[in-house]
Amino acid sequence: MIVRRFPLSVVCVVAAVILAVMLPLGVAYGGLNIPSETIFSVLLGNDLGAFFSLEPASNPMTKIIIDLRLPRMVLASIVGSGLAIVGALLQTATRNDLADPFLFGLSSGAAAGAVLVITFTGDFLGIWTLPIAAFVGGLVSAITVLALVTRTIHTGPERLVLAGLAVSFLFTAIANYFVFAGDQRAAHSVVFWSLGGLGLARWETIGFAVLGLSMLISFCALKKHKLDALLSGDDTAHSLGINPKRMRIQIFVVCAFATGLFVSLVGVIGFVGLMVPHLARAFVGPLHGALLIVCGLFGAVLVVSSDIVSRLILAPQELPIGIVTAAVGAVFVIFLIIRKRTV
Amino acid sequence: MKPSEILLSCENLFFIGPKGRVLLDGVSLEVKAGEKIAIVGPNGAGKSLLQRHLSGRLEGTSGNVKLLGGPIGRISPINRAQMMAVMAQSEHIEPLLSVEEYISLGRIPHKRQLGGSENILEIERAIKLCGLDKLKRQSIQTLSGGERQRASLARAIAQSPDLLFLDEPTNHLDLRAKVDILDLIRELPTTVLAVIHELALVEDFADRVIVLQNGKIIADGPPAVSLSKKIVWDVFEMNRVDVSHPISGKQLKVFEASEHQINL
Repeated sequence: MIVRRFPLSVVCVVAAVILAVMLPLGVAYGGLNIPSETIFSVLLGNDLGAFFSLEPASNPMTKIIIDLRLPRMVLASIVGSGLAIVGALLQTATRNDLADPFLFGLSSGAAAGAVLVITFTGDFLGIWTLPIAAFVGGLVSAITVLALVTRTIHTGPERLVLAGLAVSFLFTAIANYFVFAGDQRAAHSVVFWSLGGLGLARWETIGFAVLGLSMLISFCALKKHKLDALLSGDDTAHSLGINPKRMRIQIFVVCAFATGLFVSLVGVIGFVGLMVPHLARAFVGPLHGALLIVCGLFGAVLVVSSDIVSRLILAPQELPIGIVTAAVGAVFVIFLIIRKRTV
Repeated sequence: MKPSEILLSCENLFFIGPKGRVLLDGVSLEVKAGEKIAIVGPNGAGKSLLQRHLSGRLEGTSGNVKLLGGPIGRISPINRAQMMAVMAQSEHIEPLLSVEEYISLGRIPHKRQLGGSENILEIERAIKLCGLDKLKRQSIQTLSGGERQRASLARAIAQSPDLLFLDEPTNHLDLRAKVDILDLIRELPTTVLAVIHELALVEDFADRVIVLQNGKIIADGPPAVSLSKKIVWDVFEMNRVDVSHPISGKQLKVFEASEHQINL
C-alpha cells in the first residue's frame, strides 16, 4: 500500500481558510444573531465604520461582540488547538490510539475541585474561584496518576490508561458524594465541568489558555525529533539517543499542566484530543513536525464549529459543547473500529 | 577509526535478575574496529541481555562497559547514538510511517550537526544498500517479515554508526532471505555484533563467534574454534557433522539434533 500525504502547506492553508470563515460566523450566530454590518462596525470602530458608511452599533451590541463573542471564539480556537496537540502527544507517548487529554482523570478531578468549593467555601476568590478550584482539582488527579505511572512506567505505557481510569473513578465518586450530600448547585457545576462550555470566556482569563498553548508549542518545537523517535519503539528510540521513559514523563507533565489550564476555563470538551490527531495523521502522516501544526489548526476548527452548533441547535438555550463533540466523536470511533477491522 | 582499535569493552559484567538469578556471570570481552562478531547460545543464555548491556540500554549489577575507553554511561546519549546503532527485535513501529520516513528516523542523532541534504543522501544510500528503492513509499505495516527486517537494518545503517548491534536479524525470514541479509551485513564497512540462532550460517558471516551459556562466555574465537564439535554438543546438545559439497567440494557444517554425541 503506497502512503499518500497531502502537502503540509496546502493542508494548513485550507484549514486556516475554514477557520477564518468559522470565526466571524461564531461571532455572528448564537442566542442572538448579529448582522455582519454591526460586527464590522464594532471591529472597525465608529470613525472607520463611518468611513465605510456603517451605522454605529448600540452599546449592548458592542458589549456582546467585544466582551462575550470575541473572547469566546479566541478561547475556542486556543483550547481546540491545545487539546488536539495534547491528544497527539499522548497517543505518541502511550502508543495507544484511544489516548486523549482526559486520560489523567482530569475531568473528574476538575469537577471534584469545583464542587468542593461550591459546597464548602463559596466564591471566596470572585470570578477566579471556580477556574482555580477546577485547575487544582484537575492537577491533583493528574499528579496522582503520574505518581502511579512513574513507579510502574518500566512495565509499559499501557499502565497510564489503567491508572487514569482508576483515578478518574475515584474523583467521580468524590464529586458525586459532595453533590448528593450537599449543595444542589454543585450538580450544575458537575454538568459544566463534565460536558464543557465556553460560556465563561472572558478576556481576563484567556491568558491561562495562552499559557497552556504556548507551553505545548515550545515543548513540541524543542522535542519534535525526540517525539518522532518514540514512533520506532522503545529499544530503537534508545538507540537513537532518546530516553523513552524520561521523554514520556516530560510529555505527561506538560500535557497534564496544559490540560489542567484548559479544563479550568472550559471544562471537559471530550473527543477533540482523540479524533483530531487521527484525522491529521491521515493527511500529513505521523511525523510530529507536520502533525502537530495540523492538529492545532484542525482542533481549532472543530471546537469553533462545535461551539456554533451547540449555540444554534437549541437556541436560545445553549447546549454543552461536550455533547456535540461526543456525538461526532462516537461516530468517529465507530469508523475507526470498522476501518481497523478492514485493514 | 583504525582497524584493530578497541571500540567497545566490558569487564567482569554481572547482572542479577529477579529472584536473585544470575543472568550475566562475569562477562569480559573486547570488540575491535572492523570485526564481525556473532553471539550464539541456547534460548535464555543471556545473548540479547548481554547486547542490551553493551549498547547501554541496561546497566549491569556490577562491572563496566566502555566505549572508546570511557564508561558508556558518561557518554551523552546523542554522542552514543552517533557511534552505535541497534537493530532491535520485533519493535512496535508506528504503522502509518512510510518505509522512507521510518528509515529517516536513523538520522535523528545527526540532525543538529548536518544539513538537510547530507541527511537525505545518507537515507537514500541506506535505502539503496538494502534494496528498498521500490518499497520506500509503502506503508511500513504492509511489508512482509523479510522486507521489514531490511527496513530495520536500513534505519540502523542510516544512523552511520561505527558499531552496529543486531538482535536476531534473521528472525521471521525464509532461508534465502536469511542468507541474503547476512551477506549484506557482512559487506557493511562497520563493526557488527549480532545475536544469531542459525549456527550453519554463522561461519560465512562472522570472523569471531562468542558462545554464551547461562550468562557465561563458554568460547570466544574464530568460528572453527568456537563452534567445535565438543562445544556444540556441550552447549546445544547437537552434533556437528562436516560434509563436502558434492560439486564445489566446499566444507559444509550440518547441525543435527541427537540423543548421543557422535564422533565423525
